[in-house]
Amino acid sequence: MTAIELAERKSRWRAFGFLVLGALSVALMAFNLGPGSSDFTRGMWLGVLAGSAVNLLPVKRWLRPNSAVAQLLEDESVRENRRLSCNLGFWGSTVTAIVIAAALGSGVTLRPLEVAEIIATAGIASAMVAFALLELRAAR
Amino acid sequence: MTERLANRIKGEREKAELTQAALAERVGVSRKTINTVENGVFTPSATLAIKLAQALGLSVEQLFWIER
Repeated sequence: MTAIELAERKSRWRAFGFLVLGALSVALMAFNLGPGSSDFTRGMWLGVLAGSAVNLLPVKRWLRPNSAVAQLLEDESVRENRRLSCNLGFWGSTVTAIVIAAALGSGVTLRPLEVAEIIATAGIASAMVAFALLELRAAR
Repeated sequence: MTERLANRIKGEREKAELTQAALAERVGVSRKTINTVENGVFTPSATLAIKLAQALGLSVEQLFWIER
């Protein structure tokens, strides 16, 4: 298998992994807003979110700068997709913060920790889903 | 006025009997990058445009032009 084919395969798995991680972080956040939340589920949410955030960075390129596959997984169209998806994540969290502010003003009650969870999840999950979709579209 | 960078990569690539993967290998990028440049989804850097033109034996101006 050539480096091009290997990079293509890894890139597709990465995109599917991002979709799963994005969905998992939203599901854990939703669970934590309910009565069943505990320190364990909050820890799980934090772990998934931290893992997701790290994956949004070109870590493999930093760790293995001379690897041909790592370079292909981080070439200029991927960098552009990463930039676009991180922009979208920024706007996702900003819009969510505005919506929460409006909701709090109209009588909805949320604890500060829940507000932080919702905003962080919105930012990271929207960036991950956007990156995955851009990558899958590029691979068609 | 909207401007976009058009290209004839697909035609020239097929004329040279290269797949997207083969051209990607020559240029040192992923197949996705070739695909998105070909379809006008992604505007390549000057470096990549030059590499693509060299790989297909053309000048950058022959391969890319601005469409208004």
